[in-house]
Amino acid sequence: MWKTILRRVLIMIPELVILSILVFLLAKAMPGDPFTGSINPKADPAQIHHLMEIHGLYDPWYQQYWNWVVHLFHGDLGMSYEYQEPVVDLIQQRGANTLWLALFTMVLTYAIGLPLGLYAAHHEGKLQDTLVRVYTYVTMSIPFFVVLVLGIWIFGYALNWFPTSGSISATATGFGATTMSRLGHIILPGLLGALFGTVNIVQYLRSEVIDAKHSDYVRTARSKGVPMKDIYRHHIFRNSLLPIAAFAGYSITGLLGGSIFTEMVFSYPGMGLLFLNAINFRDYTVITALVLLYGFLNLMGTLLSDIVLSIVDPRVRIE
Amino acid sequence: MSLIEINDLKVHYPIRGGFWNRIVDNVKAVDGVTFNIEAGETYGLVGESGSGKSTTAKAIIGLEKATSGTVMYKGKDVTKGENRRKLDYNHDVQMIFQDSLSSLNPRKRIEDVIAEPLRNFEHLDKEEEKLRVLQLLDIVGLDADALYKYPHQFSGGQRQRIGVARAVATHPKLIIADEPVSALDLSVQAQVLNFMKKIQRQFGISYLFISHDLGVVRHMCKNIAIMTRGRIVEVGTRDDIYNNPMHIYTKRLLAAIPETNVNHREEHRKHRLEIEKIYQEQQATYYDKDGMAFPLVKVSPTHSVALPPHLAKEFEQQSENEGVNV
Amino acid sequence: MVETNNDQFLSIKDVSTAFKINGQYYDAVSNVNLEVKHDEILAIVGESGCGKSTLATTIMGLHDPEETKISGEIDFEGTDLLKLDEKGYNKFRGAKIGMIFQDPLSALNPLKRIEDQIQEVMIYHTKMTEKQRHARVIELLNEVGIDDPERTAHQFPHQLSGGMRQRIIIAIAIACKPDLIIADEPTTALDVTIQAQILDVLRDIQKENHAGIILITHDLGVVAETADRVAVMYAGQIVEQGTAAQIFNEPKHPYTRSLLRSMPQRDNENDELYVIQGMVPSLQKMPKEGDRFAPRIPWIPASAHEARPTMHDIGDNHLVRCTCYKDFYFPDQVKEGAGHESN
Ligand SMILES: Nc1ncnc2c1ncn2[C@@H]1O[C@H](COP(=O)(O)OP(=O)(O)OP(=O)(O)O)[C@@H](O)[C@H]1O
Ligand SMILES: Nc1ncnc2c1ncn2[C@@H]1O[C@H](COP(=O)(O)OP(=O)(O)OP(=O)(O)O)[C@@H](O)[C@H]1O
Ligand SMILES: [Mg+2]
Ligand SMILES: [Mg+2]
Repeated sequence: MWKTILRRVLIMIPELVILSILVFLLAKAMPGDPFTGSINPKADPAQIHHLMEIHGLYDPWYQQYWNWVVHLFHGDLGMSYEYQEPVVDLIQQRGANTLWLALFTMVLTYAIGLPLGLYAAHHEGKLQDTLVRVYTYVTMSIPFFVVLVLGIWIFGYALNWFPTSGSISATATGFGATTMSRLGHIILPGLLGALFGTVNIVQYLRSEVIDAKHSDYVRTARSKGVPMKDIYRHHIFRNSLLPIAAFAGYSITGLLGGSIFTEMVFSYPGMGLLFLNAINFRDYTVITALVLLYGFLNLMGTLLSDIVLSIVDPRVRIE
Repeated sequence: MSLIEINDLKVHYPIRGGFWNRIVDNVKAVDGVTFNIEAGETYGLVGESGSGKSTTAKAIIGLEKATSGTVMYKGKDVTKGENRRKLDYNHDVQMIFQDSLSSLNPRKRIEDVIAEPLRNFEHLDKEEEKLRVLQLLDIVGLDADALYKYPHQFSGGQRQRIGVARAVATHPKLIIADEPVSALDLSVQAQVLNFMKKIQRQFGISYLFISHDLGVVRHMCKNIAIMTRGRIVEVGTRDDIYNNPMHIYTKRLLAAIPETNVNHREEHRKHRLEIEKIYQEQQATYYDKDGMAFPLVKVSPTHSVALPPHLAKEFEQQSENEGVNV
Repeated sequence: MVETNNDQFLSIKDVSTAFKINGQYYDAVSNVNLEVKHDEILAIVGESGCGKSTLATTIMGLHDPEETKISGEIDFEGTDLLKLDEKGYNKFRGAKIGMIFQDPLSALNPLKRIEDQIQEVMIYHTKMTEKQRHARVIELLNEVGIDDPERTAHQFPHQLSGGMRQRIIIAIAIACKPDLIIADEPTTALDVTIQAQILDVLRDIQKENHAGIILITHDLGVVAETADRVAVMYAGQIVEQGTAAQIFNEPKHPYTRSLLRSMPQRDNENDELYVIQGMVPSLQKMPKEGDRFAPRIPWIPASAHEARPTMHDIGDNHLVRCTCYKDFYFPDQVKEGAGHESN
């Protein structure tokens, strides 16, 4: 198996190279430049021209690309034009914020989704099941940003229970206070994200469990004299949870990319917001770095979930 | 001249592996199969699961690419796409599948299901088309109100007959029937088999009849080929195969057919266990060192067997010296 | 340990099983009476949809009580199974009654090792230690004819062929030496050679354990080869019952005779096969009264049928439903009473 994993990792290299070239070119092809308006609205075109020259933005693209690659291997992704900070530092800060939010959302999603899905399937066709299904349909039919805006309006402004922007309050000092402040900032976006994210899990798990319940191997287990509650434990739940466990590998890397919606609505300084701003300001260095990172995360996610799946499900072998 | 001649047909599926995912080996699903089907006859192809029957069928009809070998139809090799088009091969050769429900589009009404081949090959106006479809329904013994129903509204036997109606719509010369009755009850099976025989008499259709049920094959086929591991181990008339099987694989297959006469149950069982013992003992000699069957040797004008070299010699000499010994 | 009496230990009395369809109950099995003795194979034959599997799962108690209504009595060694609650039933399932299902591909849990799936049944019914259970697993795998038991025990279902999986299912069914084995189409999905081997395994095991076997199949050849007694089922009812010799040599009921005549055999190679008109009625379309098979032999006058068909013993425990068999003839034959035209 390690051979296959190694091969998959090796295949990722050319994929990432091609991706980076594409992104590099696309970023360059966007109209506008990173300097107009950023220094001073009335900046002199000659000055901008000068800046462009200093930053090598008039060089042929392949030369710019090559420079970028060489720097990349030195752990240098360049400076952000907008924030005037090394891109690496920027991603680290924002990445940490996103990581907290992502982990929190994920834990909540599974903590709500799994029991709900199992509960609904267990009571298939009964009132409990119908209630859960109504919940999933309602959630599904409302667009995500509406949920966010409503949530922030009710719990943030009207009730004023949670902060409505930022990732930490400026006044918090000391470990305890900062941690609490961080947590305070992610509860609402995390909860809303989770409410939305559970729908898929609930529906998937519910149908998996119901399928398993009516499967031939459960009938075999029943005819062995295994009590139903043990069949649920040893056969049904186990079999239906495995694909979800494997999917978790994929969804965590997805969440790490940052949710643009959530971060925008909550002005939460994470990766999603960073990306949005970078596009607005033609912050080439940041755009390229982020897209590359997203590409990398995506490939890793697929690989990770395949690996997990091949470990938990004997029928699947990564080939 | 035969209707269709299959010569040394091979279909190998590549197995990929290793670090660069290169082809490391081949599954020899079909490995050198030769037989002819005469006009108006039913040719039986029998073998256990995985012996390559379906793959052979698919290669003949062109659904699977032959690795090598030829399928000669009207003097041209139809493993090549351009010959198939030139000869209207896809019009002349049709297929019936084992699983009628999954081979019929569930969202199409029976009218459209049956008319589909007509629309592909013959350009009829609406009236003529409808007339033909009604005729076909009549031939397969279904009411006209079947026209507007969907496949799931029919029983297994009726669906299988719809499959047959579709296959005969264009008056094909050859129908390849891959396990057409394996999923059916006795009585429904009887219905489909009778029907296949009837339209054969009516239209002079040939069948390649694929099955693992030796009882059904005996009922349907004049000439039979027994296949295992991608090769044919014995070919002959019904009589040759059932009354004078010579390859141990054939003997074992025949011995395994349940005996319907309860009075001979014990003898039959003893006979089967005996054959099984011989099979286990002699298996090694009947296949080459790669586990493949030997080339066929003619033991009579109609009967060929993949005998091991030491037994084959005898027949080769015989046929050289004094013609064939029947 | 094993009793070696020849007495019947299972008697099914007047059992009916009805399924709820659109709020109404319809009989899939109607008033079935059957007995099974030790050391005997009772075959149940009939076309698809005749209620064979429903009867089997009724004995096993596998029906959803909210969707089915079951009446009658199933006396198993003095206990009426139908009166048991789920907990009581579990003492019988796997321990005293083993069941073998049709589709070996789906009947095993794809994510569990063979060993665990066989051990599971012992965990619930014996006090064996892990070590003893392992030893028994190996013993069982040997018994069902698996060449390399240690290795197979460690494998997962998808690594085995259909024939091997069916052997595993048999191993599970016989692990606790049940008195009754119910085999629902155990070989339908398999090649003839493997079918023969599996049937041999079943028979050998039966000899050893003195079990009674209910063998459900629609393959008359399999019945002729293995069964001691045969019950022919049509539309939820038993229509004929007797020894294999009685059923195959002197079939009486029109349905039995029709089935035998529709089978391709050595002596009808060039004939038309007999086709039974119509088809098995769906549950909702089941005739409410009279002979359920009558619509499929419309040339036999209504007067030949009983108004309320019952089983008649025509000698030596050969039972036939309805009296119409006396007047039955095939449309292409001259009427000659109960002939022997199909053997
Ligand atoms: N697409 C494929 N790729 C690789 N191997 C294949 C493929 N299709 C079939 N095979 C293999 O080729 C062999 C012959 O298969 P085929 O389906 O022709 O058998 P068959 O005789 O029709 O069996 P059955 O009675 O089960 O239908 C089998 O070993 C099968 O696993
Ligand atoms: N859960 C169910 N709900 C409603 N009807 C059912 C149910 N299970 C079976 N039936 C119906 O009961 C009848 C008998 O079915 P059963 O499966 O017992 O037949 P069978 O004799 O085992 O057939 P086969 O040979 O196809 O397995 C059929 O008409 C079937 O459609
Ligand atoms: Mg096939
Ligand atoms: Mg059944």
